[in-house]
Amino acid sequence: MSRSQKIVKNLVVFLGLCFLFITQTALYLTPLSAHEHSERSLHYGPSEVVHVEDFDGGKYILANYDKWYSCNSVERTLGFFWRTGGGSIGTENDKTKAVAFSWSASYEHFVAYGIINNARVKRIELTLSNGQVLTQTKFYDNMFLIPWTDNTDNNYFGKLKGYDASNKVIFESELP
Amino acid sequence: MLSPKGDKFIEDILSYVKFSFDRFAIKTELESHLLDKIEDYTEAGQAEDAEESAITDMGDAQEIGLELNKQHNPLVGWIWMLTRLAVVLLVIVDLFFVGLPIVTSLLDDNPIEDISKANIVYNITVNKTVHLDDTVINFRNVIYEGNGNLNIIYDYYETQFWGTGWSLGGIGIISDNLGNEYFAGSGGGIRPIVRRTVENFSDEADTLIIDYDQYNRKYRVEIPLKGGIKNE
Repeated sequence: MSRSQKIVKNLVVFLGLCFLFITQTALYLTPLSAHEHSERSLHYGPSEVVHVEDFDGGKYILANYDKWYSCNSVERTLGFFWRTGGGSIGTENDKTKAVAFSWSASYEHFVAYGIINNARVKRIELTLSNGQVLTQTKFYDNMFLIPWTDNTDNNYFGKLKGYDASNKVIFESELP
Repeated sequence: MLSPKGDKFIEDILSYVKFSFDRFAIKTELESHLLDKIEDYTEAGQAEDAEESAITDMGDAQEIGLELNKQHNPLVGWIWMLTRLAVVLLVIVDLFFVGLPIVTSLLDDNPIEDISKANIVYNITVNKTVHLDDTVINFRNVIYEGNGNLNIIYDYYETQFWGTGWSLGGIGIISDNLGNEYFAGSGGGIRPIVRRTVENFSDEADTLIIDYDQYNRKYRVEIPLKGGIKNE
């Protein structure tokens, strides 16, 4: 076998081993592919993605499926692959509430997310446990996302309020 | 053993071979070839100038060296070395990340063996299979113990070759025909066979019900009880 043939053989074996590694360690080439496989393995979805937002090292995927809403996360790994992140699945939308929401944390990355059931709500305000206030006025198909980062272990979800256009509070809740 | 002249002839040839990793093999082959020729001349009665004649027969060192350098192209040589190294490294990585978990799971103890035979009131062979997306769950045995523990033994596997990242969590709500619901916990793992234990299961119940109804996925398994082999 010539050296060129040996190179071809090595490349074929290399690609086969790469395929085995990628498939069996659940690595994906795109964030949405990682998200879809994550949902399916959790026996949820497929959800309709309404918004994708970057965070340090990954992406939040805001989505809804039937009567549930979710904010899954996927993480970049080994330079250009994606893998499942927090494995968040759906929370049922309680339509009796002006704002249905949930939150999750993975290491220092936190995110509050939800769905607005009352069209009068124009602004969401999240107060963290250390008093910091985060505001969101941008909604995606009536869904919102408020990410924050904290590595002090004392900056958790505090209170969430929904305001109408005249800054009147029409929804207020502590931990869901 | 070659003389310094023979050694120099070979070193001259090797100086044209740029891919250094091949030099040793080429040197060995040239030495062998030269020694064969010397032996031929010696046997023919020309021992005194055998090496000189052999070197002359071999040809011009530069010409041979340049030809060998073409055959042992350094670029091709390096690509070959790198691809070989990459394959070896990836074999190690695959063995660690793919092979080891498979071997570990295969060598894992059968959870049925963890149940003391003396405590078994009955052991029912079930063999009921359900599908949950790409996951196939096969309920194998239901083992009832004297202390009221009901053990549900099942295995599961993925039909998709591409790894999914999450192992099977809960198998559903566990109840009986009397309307009692039991806590069975959740969580999976990579074990091929799982034992899920329900405590204080009613000894009067004659049917175990496993009901999964989440996110538009449904299955229901009803397993008749008390039909097993007592103290198997």
